Amino acid sequence: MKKIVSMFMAAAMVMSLGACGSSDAGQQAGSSQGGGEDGVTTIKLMMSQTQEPGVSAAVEAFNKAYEGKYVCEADYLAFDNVFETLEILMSSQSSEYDVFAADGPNIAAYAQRGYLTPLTDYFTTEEVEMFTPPMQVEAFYNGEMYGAPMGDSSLVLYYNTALLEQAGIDYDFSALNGENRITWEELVKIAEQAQSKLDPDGSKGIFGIEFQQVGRTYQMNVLANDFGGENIGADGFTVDGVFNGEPWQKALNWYQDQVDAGVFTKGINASDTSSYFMSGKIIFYLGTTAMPGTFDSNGFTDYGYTYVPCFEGYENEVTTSCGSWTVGINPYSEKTEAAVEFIKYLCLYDGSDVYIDVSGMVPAVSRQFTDELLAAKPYLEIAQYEGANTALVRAITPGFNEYATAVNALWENVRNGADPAQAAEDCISELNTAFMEYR
Amino acid sequence: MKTIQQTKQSASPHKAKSRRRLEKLLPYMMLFPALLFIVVFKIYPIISVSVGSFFRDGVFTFRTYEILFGDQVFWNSLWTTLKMNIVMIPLQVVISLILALLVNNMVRGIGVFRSIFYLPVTMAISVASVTWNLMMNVNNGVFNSLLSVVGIESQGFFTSASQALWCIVIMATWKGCGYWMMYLLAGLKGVDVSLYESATLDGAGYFTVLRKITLPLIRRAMLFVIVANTTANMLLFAPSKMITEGGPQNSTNVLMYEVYKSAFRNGNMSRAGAITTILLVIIIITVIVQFKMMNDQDD
Repeated sequence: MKKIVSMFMAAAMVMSLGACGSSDAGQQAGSSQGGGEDGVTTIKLMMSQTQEPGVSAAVEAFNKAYEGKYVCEADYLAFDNVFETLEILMSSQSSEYDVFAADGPNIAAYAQRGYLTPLTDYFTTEEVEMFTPPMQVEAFYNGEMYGAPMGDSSLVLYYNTALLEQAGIDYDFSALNGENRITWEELVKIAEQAQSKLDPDGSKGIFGIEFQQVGRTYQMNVLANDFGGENIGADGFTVDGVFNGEPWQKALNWYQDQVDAGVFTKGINASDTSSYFMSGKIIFYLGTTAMPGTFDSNGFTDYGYTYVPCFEGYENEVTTSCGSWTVGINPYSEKTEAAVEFIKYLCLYDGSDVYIDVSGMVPAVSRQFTDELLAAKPYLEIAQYEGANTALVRAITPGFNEYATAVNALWENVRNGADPAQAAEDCISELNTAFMEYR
Repeated sequence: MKTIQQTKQSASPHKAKSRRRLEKLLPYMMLFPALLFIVVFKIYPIISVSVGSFFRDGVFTFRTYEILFGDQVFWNSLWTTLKMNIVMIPLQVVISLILALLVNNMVRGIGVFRSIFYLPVTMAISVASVTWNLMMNVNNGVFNSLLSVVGIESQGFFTSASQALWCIVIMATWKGCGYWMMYLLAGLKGVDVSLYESATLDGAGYFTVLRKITLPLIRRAMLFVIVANTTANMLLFAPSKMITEGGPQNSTNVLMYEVYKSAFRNGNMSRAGAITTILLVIIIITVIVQFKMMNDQDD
């Protein structure tokens, strides 16, 4: 009996300690406010901190424009916490936020789980057509519009002018354009040449090329896409035949070769790459068009930019990553009318202009590519060209989170020396099981 | 008069009986508030999670477990968790015991050593993860710099599929041993010094004293450390999240990280609940075995 009691106590203690070890339940947001006695409706917005400068300026403009009618209160959460908080709130059917940030590729997943109110009835065809074509693709799932894109993103090849000059490399990047790009093969050669001059014994740790978001599907998939590879099958679930197909295998092997040769980095996270580029440790840097803002705020001026490379013999296959944050409406919100008004203001009209101006994002609305904007931010010309010709939205699948986790790991595993063929098979197997949840 | 006396006589045993009953109930009454909190905030959520793992869209089903048991990632994760703990738990207990024995010596300045050994405990696991990640960085980490000084080539550490898990074990051991050391030290302080003196007079050597006197007498502290250490380490996932994201090649993808990914990244609460339930069962079985082994030793 004594032993049984002691075992029961042990089990209780373990369960108790087990509960202590569970992770934080995410950040709790402030309380929601309903329509006040003064007739003002308050809507609450949850947004990624990465978008705070642009969105806060737009929110301020909204509150001024709709004074006495609507007020928007925004909470800005750290990038990773946005996804976690959203999962926690929505799984408990919370109406804490009326409007929230939904990363573009997650639209399908959130729509599938019932986290988003369909917007099709609230947006006219003319309003939908105001968005650029790739952004229309991102906003829709199964024929319904679920998210309104605030902005877009595009990929540009930045280069460190000071390092290239130091290495004595004189390449005319200004001669390049969308139809005449540098090839990856040429770029690697130049990078190796520069590395051998700048850091012959490797003691300075200077790398040739890196993606801003290394190890993330958002930018890394471009390599496979550049060989003509798809992100996912047309049904949004098929990955067998994709990752183990020729384009992906070529890309994975090519990438691993460059990492092994010390051209691409190893052991550096996506969050650190911009620091490496700005401190002269990376010569060529593939980043979004939002990077000049970061460069400026850090006083970094030794850079130029051009169109992203293509592979030799695959010039017509070149693709660029695109997509950004969208905003959606909580289906449990009781302030849908105010929420719709807000997201139209933020994504299509005056608020959108404020957001694009302050944030440095690529416009998601075609009318915003004005001469003034392009004169102020000349790199957006590249974004405009890529948006119209090469932009490829990320995999559209209800299991995008699982997809991103597995594909991020695939790139990272190959980077760290895994056999590309085996790594691809493991990724396929993992996703096949994960997608069973949605079939 | 007689009646009053009789009443007094019969009231006395009655009073004594109720006092005895109250005395019996008192510990439970004292424990009740704490138990209530444990039940509401710990036991109930656990049961709720476990029950939730059997429901999909409000319908009772074994489908989640069916998918889970056919998932290679889950089995790899289970094996990674077991492998890590089979090495880490004994390692931490032994090192903690050695440290406790060392700092139990009453020499000048011993307090400084106790503080130094305890210092890593005061650091948040997230901070420790970031720090160790920097120290073990493949490009410019201090460990690789030291290795290059002695002519050993640069190691992958957290980027190597064969080394990453063991780097986490080293980090967690560095972080955790000071904590367990304190419990064992408390146990050692409870041992009557005269027993050591008698044993020494009888000619017993250090290891004999350790085996025959010290270890049996700190058995309760040891049991707590083993059980609590098992629970804590089975649930450890911060380094996997912050440093390796379960990689390279799923080599650090422990079950708790799988739970985190399922629940908070993929929004699959049912899968997260199922893995939590399995993890809980494993921990309970492990702890019962540990209890049994310690009780057998006692017998």
